[in-house]
Amino acid sequence: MKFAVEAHDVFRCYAPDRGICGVSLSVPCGECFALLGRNGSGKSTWVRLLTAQERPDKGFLSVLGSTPKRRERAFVSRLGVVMDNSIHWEELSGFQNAYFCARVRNVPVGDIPSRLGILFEKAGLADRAEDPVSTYSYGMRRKLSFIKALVHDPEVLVLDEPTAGLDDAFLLELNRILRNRYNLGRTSLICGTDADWIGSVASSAAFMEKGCIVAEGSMNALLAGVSGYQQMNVVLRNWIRVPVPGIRGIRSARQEGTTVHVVLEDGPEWIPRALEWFTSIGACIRRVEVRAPGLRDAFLLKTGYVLDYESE
Amino acid sequence: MNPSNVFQLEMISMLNTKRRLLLRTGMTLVLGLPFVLIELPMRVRAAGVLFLVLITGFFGAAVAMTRRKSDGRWKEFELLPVRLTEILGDFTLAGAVMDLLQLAPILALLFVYHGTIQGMNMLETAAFLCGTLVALNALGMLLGWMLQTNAEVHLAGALGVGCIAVGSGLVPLPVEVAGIVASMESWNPVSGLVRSLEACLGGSVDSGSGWGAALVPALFAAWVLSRALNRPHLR
Repeated sequence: MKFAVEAHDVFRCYAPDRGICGVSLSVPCGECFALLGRNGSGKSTWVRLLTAQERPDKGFLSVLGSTPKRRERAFVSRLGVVMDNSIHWEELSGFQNAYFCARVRNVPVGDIPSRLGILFEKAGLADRAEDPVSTYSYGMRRKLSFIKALVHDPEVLVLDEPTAGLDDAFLLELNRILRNRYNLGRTSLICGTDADWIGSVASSAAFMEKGCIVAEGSMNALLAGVSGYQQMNVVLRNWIRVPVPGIRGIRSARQEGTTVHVVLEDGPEWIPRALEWFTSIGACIRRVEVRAPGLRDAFLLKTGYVLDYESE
Repeated sequence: MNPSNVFQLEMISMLNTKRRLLLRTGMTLVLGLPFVLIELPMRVRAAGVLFLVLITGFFGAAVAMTRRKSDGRWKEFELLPVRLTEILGDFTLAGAVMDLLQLAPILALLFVYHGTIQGMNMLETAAFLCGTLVALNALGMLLGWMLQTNAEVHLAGALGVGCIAVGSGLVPLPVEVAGIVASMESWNPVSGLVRSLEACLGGSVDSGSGWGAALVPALFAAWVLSRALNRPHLR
């Protein structure tokens, strides 16, 4: 099996608890791999290591079979990178910025206008392509970063905090683009905090906490840890103090104002029982939402920051 | 026009903003006009214009480089498959061309009002001007690359301009130091530019470099043309 990324015991520490502390990962080629972590958990450091902007203090790191080297043209040409901050030449138009990136990445001159036309259209920037970047909003600058990273159809696409500042329409489009890349066997590496969006697009993921990987695997494997539960949010008409539930099937309950977050065991029979219990304590229910646990629940469970599942 | 290399990117970026272009050229003109209009000794006139060259060439390049670093554009280049030498060369060349555009009006006025249009002197001045601007831009970029913030680069840039002025014999020096400076003049393009400007303004005959002086502007023009017209060299 060929690996897009192989890391063994990689360290890049700025200070104790800051940076990357002994990360070992293997991402096969063609995966849409996501690294999920809280702010300051080391995700951006990981991106800088992958893109050769920094070197590991120790350990082995390989991207597409070679050690990332700063400014090595053969290596950098194979990457498309969207960092968390959008840097462009402000006086140039969006099209000129993207054209320059396409040219230096060896895209045939004849193909550039059509490729950029499609990408600007997908990003909803077609009518602003010729405007100076200095007139763009934050979200438009972010979209331009995606256009610049995708124009040469890179072997590996690296996205740092991809959802920041983007509208839902473009996130759906980005979802389609990433799925298409996955179907074509192109590797995408996503680092971010938006577990819901990442859960909708990634084929495998890892959770990072304080510079270490705390869980790793396919989406099914990661969700297996929470698959025996379901989340029910009960919105009450008026506030009452909800006591600790003492009936079978309810694993935990956490009250936030008139909303009670209840974790139930899996199975439809537990929902009416729980609602009966709410009625029995005198609660007047306005609305009920039930959903299956997702990547966010798995992440929170593994990193131990929400105790819903552990508070019984 | 769409940029295909870093030189084109920088030139389009600088020329796209008409206001900034007008301000830069206008400010240089306003700062330089006293040296054209006011009756001054020829040596002071040449030194004044040379200070403008130092400020636009060295100081401007240093500030621009630090700004590239602080706004993240320099980091952005690390994610693009462009050689470092190509990036630095194109930055230097684009900076020198822009400085030439900025200085052209004041130099033209200086020659029209006070110069002696003598072919060889003009050629020699052009040669030293091109060489000086390229060298100053390269030095300024080096300084800007070493510094982190706008405040640092303004302080160090001003000191740098002073040091180059002293090292090029633009200011009166004690005899001991003047001897050292004089010994370096032969390879210092700024000193050469001072000499050739003085020759132009003083009406003395050419200094003997002959048609060889034409080589530098020709090479400079060829470099500019090759970057302006050519597409980037890719592997």
